[in-house]
Amino acid sequence: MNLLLPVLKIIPLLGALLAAPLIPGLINKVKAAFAGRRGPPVLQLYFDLFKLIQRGAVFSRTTTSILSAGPLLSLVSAGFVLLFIPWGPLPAPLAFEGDLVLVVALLGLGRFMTVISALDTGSSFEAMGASREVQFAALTEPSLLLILLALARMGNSLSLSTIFTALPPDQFVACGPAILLVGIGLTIALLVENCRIPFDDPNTHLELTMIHEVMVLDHTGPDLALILYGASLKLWIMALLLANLFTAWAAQAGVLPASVLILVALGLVAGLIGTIESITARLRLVKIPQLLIGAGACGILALFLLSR
Amino acid sequence: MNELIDFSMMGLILLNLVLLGATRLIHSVRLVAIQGLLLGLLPLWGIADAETSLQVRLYAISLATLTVKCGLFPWMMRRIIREGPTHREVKPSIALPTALLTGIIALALAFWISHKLILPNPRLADTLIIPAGFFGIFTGLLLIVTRRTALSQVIGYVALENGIYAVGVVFAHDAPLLIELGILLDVFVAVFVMGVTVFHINRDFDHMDTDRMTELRDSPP
Repeated sequence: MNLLLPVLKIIPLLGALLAAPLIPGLINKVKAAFAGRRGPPVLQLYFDLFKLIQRGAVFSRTTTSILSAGPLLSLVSAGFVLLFIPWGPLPAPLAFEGDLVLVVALLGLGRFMTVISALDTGSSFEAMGASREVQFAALTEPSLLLILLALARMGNSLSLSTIFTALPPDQFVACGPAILLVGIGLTIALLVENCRIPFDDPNTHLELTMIHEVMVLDHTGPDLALILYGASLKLWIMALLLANLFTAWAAQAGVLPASVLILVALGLVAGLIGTIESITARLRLVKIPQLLIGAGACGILALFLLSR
Repeated sequence: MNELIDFSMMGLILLNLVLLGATRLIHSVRLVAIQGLLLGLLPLWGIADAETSLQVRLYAISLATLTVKCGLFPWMMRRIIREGPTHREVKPSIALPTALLTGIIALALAFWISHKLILPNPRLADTLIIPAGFFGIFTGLLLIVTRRTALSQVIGYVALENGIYAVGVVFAHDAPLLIELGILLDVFVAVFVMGVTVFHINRDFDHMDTDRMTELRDSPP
């Protein structure tokens, strides 16, 4: 087992790299089911990526090399984050005390790269999207940090890899309200980080309401493929955090049962996102900061509950 | 049963936070009604290990609370909103995100206070009731101070009373039933009078903006 552990740790990572585009596919299937359509196949994103890679890229003459560096670096930072996310009882390939701060920082770096590559195009329209993205990120990041801090308090560790293994069933029940709060906060963070409905509509092409989609308008071909793939990795990361949280009670049962549970939980998270997108409308832009502060409040409340 | 108490008190805290950010009056009324439901059920969670005389009292408190807070108050406030010609939005005098942030500070204060208090009933002192109650009181005060229309101030008053009630439940063992019911009657009369007043303000002035009622005159200039 000890010899196998390094190999075992790599498997969830490879699985994530391969299976991440499945989650948007699942979400679209759920949304299609709600709307009474058949919907695109679950593997649609793979087809899209394959098609985009074969295409050539077109660059505007006003742009510099930052435009093509943005998608690449944001994908790399998402991949880096993946190195720190554990798979249930299996620790992450890289782990140290305090890695949850690095995770938030890397997510921020990825966003920063997308933002400056949008600004690099010189289009005021894309700059508007960039400005909105940064405005909401300024509220999302503290909230996400607070939520992760509450998690750290729960597991008595600052490393994501040991937090989720430190919650045996009896303690899981005792922390119940706090876990629920962290779950709510993490769901809000997931929705805003991945530009899903109530915050941003991944399908929208209405100029005034776009946030994320507007920033990637000038990317074509392989660059767009990198962005789409990076976005699906980010979705996988946040969904995996949620899945880890709610299956933490089974962490002691062994790797195999826990893995099955996590896979089911990932499916449920995709279903949840699809349901939320089907039954809610986008929030007005002025309401978004309130909900983000609410997510932060969930984190703070959970912290209070745990440190009573 | 402590888990159930904690979950419902967490619901109370979250509802208070949502109340601070809610923009529509009818939505706020609904939130206060759900709070009333949670609080009405609260005495029942502790009923299993109470002696018979206390059990009867707890049932009575629960029933009275549910009727007044979940039935009468929302019905009355909804009627005012429906019949009045006024705005259906709350008019905050500070921005809603600021109110929410103030609410979070109040939450910290509530936890700090509940930490310092020494309570007669140590079994309930461990639960979330005391901080949730204090937070309800602070939220209510904040709503009364920062809202401009009369009805949203009434909603703030009800939220404040919900907090007081939650703290009172901890003392249900020591306080006689009559006091609990007396408080409830007081609040009922207060909200009733306020309701009638708001209704008349609504009808006579076409608005219920309390800011515009600072100048008292006998006849229009």
